[in-house]
Amino acid sequence: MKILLRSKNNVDDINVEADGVNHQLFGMTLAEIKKVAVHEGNQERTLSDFFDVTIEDEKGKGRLIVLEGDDLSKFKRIGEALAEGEVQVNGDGGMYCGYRMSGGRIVVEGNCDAFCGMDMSGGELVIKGNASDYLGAAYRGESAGMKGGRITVHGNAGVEVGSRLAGGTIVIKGDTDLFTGIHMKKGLIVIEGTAGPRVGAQMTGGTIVVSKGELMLGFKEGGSIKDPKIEGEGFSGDFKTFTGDLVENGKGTILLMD
Amino acid sequence: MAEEEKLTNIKPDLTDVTDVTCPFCGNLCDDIHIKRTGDDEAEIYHACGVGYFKFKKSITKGATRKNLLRKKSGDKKAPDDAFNEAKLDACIDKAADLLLAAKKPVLFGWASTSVEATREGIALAEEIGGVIDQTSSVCHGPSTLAVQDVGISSCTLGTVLNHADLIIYWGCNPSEAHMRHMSRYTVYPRGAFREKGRQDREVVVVDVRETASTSVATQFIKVDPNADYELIHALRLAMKGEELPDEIPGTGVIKKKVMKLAQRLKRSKFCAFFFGLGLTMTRGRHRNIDAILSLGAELNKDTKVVIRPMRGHYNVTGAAEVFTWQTGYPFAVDLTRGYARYNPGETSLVDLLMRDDADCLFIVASDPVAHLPKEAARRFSNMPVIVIDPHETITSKFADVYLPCAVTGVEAEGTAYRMDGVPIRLKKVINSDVPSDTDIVAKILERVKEKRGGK
Amino acid sequence: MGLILKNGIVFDPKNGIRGEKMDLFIKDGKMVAEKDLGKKAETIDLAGKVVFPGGVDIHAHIAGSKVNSGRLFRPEDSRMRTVPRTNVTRAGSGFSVPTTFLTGYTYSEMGYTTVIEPAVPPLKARHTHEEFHDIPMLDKTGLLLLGNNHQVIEYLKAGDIDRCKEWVAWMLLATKCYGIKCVNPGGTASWAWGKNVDGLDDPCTHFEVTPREIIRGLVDINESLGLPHAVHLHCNNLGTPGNYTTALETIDSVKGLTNKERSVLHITHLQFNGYGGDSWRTFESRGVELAEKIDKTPNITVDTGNVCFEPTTTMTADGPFEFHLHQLGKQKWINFDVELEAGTGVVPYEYRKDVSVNAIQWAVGLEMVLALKDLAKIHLSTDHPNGGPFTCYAEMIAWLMSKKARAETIATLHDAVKSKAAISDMDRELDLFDICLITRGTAQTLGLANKGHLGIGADADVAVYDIGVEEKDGATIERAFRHCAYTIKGGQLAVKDGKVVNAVTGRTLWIDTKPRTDVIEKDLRKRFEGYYSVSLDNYPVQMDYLGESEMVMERCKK
Repeated sequence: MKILLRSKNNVDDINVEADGVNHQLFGMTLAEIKKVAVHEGNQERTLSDFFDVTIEDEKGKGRLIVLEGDDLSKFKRIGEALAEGEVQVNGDGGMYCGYRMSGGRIVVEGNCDAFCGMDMSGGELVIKGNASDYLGAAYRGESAGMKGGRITVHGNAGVEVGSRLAGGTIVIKGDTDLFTGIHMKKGLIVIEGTAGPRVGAQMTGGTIVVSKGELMLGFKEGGSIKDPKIEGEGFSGDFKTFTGDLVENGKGTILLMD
Repeated sequence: MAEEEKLTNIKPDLTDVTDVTCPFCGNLCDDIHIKRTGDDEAEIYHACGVGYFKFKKSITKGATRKNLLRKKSGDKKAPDDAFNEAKLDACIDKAADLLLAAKKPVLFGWASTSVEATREGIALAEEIGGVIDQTSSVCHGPSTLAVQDVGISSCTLGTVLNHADLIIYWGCNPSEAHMRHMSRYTVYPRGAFREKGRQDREVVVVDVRETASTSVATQFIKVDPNADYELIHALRLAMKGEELPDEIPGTGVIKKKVMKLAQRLKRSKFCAFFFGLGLTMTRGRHRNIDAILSLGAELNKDTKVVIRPMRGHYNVTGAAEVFTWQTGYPFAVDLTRGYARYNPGETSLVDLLMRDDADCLFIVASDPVAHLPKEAARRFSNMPVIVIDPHETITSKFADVYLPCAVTGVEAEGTAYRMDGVPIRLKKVINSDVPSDTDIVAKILERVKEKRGGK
Repeated sequence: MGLILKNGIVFDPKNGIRGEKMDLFIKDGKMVAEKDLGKKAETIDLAGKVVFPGGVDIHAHIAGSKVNSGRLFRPEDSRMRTVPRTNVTRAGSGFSVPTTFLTGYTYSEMGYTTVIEPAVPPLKARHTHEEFHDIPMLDKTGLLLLGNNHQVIEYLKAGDIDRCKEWVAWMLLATKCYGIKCVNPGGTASWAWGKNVDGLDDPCTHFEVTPREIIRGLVDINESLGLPHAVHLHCNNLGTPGNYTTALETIDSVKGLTNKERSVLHITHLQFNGYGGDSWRTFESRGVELAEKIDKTPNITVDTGNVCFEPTTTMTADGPFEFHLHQLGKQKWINFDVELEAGTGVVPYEYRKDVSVNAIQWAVGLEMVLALKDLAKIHLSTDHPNGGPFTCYAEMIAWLMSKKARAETIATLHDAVKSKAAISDMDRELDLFDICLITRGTAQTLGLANKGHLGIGADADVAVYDIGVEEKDGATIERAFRHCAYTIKGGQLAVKDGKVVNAVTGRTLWIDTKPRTDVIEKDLRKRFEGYYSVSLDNYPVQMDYLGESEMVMERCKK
């Protein structure tokens, strides 16, 4: 089944919360999908107010939702709590894409706004452009953030990628901004570009693999390692190992490419 | 009960009022003495220069304050629109209409007015389905975020007065921003257990430049801009006995200075840190605060350490308190869907404006156009704006409705919370020709409910 | 307009009514005789449902500075429970630390009509009253933190009981509070120097006065002032293995003192002082021993401080204990010292079924009740939210009424509950009368003559539960007590079918202690001019803050 949501490009200004766009659509008829509630500020609207909705291959085994349009970044919470199936955003994604997802797959063809993958526990989120701030991060006050799943960003990412990471993997092919992996306790972050300042600050566990970057004083150098394998992922090259962050008596690991 | 009556029976136009609370900064000094010497003249004792000016200005009768209503000349708001005097009721009505027509109105300000006014504001935001935010989000919001992440070891200002032997001012300049802080609460007063006052205390100031506050310091550490996080990180390592390099990278601070500070901390019996926008609004923001709060928490194993943010507005703390006890969150509260949600970065004023995610602004006791980043402030031209403020401001120039209100703490009573959370009553020392913002917001709420048919 | 509640099965322990089918009559907010009902009256047919007086919660942290700190620093708790507004109710949030409106509505939906905020720091009492103003549905009052008050301790040290008494009276009136609260006496005062005390006879830092002296001094003053409630005490050494000995010693510290109307000492959340062993490894329950002690001691009352297995927030005025908890669990921590008066701490905590200590704590709280003969001396509480949110009371009631419900829970707990506690072998099942007694007998302990019963002249606060008198199924009991059928508050219908239908306002209760200010004038000036950071003039809470209020008692000059 493929559900096609073609934006009418008629969003005024106010961002539209479309938290109903997830696997629950697969169990609905076309009429029901059109009536799914979305919120434009304090106004309750329906999906069909903003999207032309069509279904293709209704009886097919696939489970795919495709969003198309020029203003997709104005829609927040696409794929929220996704448990299965795939959501494809053919454009830039709005805030909270993949928030609370536990399964399935979301692919954003363009850039993505802040808080994507927050509270994630499973599934896969792929952003082909740049991600903004707080990617895969913890909600304010939580002692643990993302607990599982995988996020891949082909471009750059903003501040606090994977804050309080408690499981899962985040791969940034480009650069990151400040505080990547701050307070992380478990899981894996990979930065193939340059890690922003203060990478791994206050971490207590888990691993960050960094191609380029400057580490804080709280990381003590150990030995070197070649072609390391972390959480089933293989990395080629020589890496220096660092343990820290000592300010938190942390036992986290940073592998910095030599 | 006689004492009770005396305390609660605030007579307007009292000629000689003592223990008046100053409604300017987070010090919330409550020992001001106002002696009326004429209709709009008074002698003002004990206030600092800024507080003095506030009372003076508020007591002196200026031009009669007028409600203003904009008549748009075209589709968009323009500087040469007629912005003329209107009756209060017409303004209330227009404000209600504008709010009801909005899909995402944002009610902002609150930190320079009473808890009573803010209560009405929250009720209004809930009624119309809007976002309510207060000036924290452009000030000490990062401090709150850090407290939410790691907690805080703190106390009332009087505890510092009585116990502290080491005062550290980090990224703030109390001599100019909180003028009586040192003399009332921290450095100079004789405390129950610090009877020699200044002589019983050491003062450390950490800042990017010398200021009026650094002249008081026993030790001044000059740190490079945007490097406080690294410096605190190094200090935390030093306290744990870790070796440091001769110069802390990126900070411009040598190891010796850090070790000296570490030793001061180790030998102090009660250390009080105070920090300001030098930490909240420089690179790292809430993580700078996280670092200092984490340092404070772990130092409590060996000595007594407390930390306080130097809150600017006199009732920003009170605004956060009432926001929290009513909604569960201290600022940036989204009530558009009939229940409270909170996520600074999304639900805070600047972020809403930058994403064009607001369509009506209701500004109380604040002048955001004067203070917000230019790109955010620009948005005030694009949507209806309602302003309630004792005086016309830069923001009110963008208003569609401007309602002057009494100066809380001079012309109207109310409750404010000091920077350390101590609630103090604000007295009224002069009558006002305009209603309080509490009354105005309450009237707008009432009108909104009427127009909705009591739904 | 009067109100008739017909055909209810009424329980009213104070008036000896044990599940009798009877009609009740209400007029102008009070219980009246049928003949005084007047001509016009509405009727609600309760059709055999169980009727209790409105619940009176003797100890729940619902309003004030540290409660709000708990809310502020836990947005993650706020988002765990989010309740939208309705056309009758305001929006609310918070699982273990609900917001003010939600607190009122939720309690009311459980049939509660009066709640005591047990720890008001005097300097910030105004804050507590501001929050009271925003708690609908309930009558409220506060207990004032005095056990670590510097002036009180100095007076006691000097043996100056007369001045101490007037200071206490002045503080109570200035803060509009109801009674004396004592938390880790001497310990929190020591915490201003980063220290604690380790028992009743360990002198506190700087003042060198012992907790025993503070407790006894305040109890004597309390009796001398004739205050309606006993001194309300949070024992020293809370939460540490082996601390039941401190509880026993504390109980003995008031031996011989008597009061005809009530206890002379009320020990709160006693479960947290009910531990044997000498380490976390040897930690075990002393719930039964404590029950035996309570039965033998005529002049004390206690509330339980049960725990339930939920994520919650600890918050007490026991500054050193909260720091200790923070160090144990590494959770974020708020500490707040209030000059010259008190100190508080807030730390999130989750009681877990697979943790031996938590399983034993669960047992202690229940054992104390089940082993106790005189249930008039014990009251149900969780020290909300320390042991769990007050929404857990329903589950607690199910455990007390149903051995099967207990057994089902025991099967999910760490084995230590079987080897280190007696609960598995306890067969007793409380009945509805017992439950009514332990949740409404609080009014007697508090000296609230018009609460906790349905006799003529009582406040018309009534709770109706949809439960059969012989019900034993745990899940049914829990459901019934979590959402009641009706709540009447002050004669008005407030809740129907478990939902608020009328957001009524409650009152703040206070007492007029008539302090002799002349006796302490010099010390007042000295304290405020020298050491307080606010002026004396601005310290007392103005009557404006009380909104609807009721002065419950006036001190009689002796």
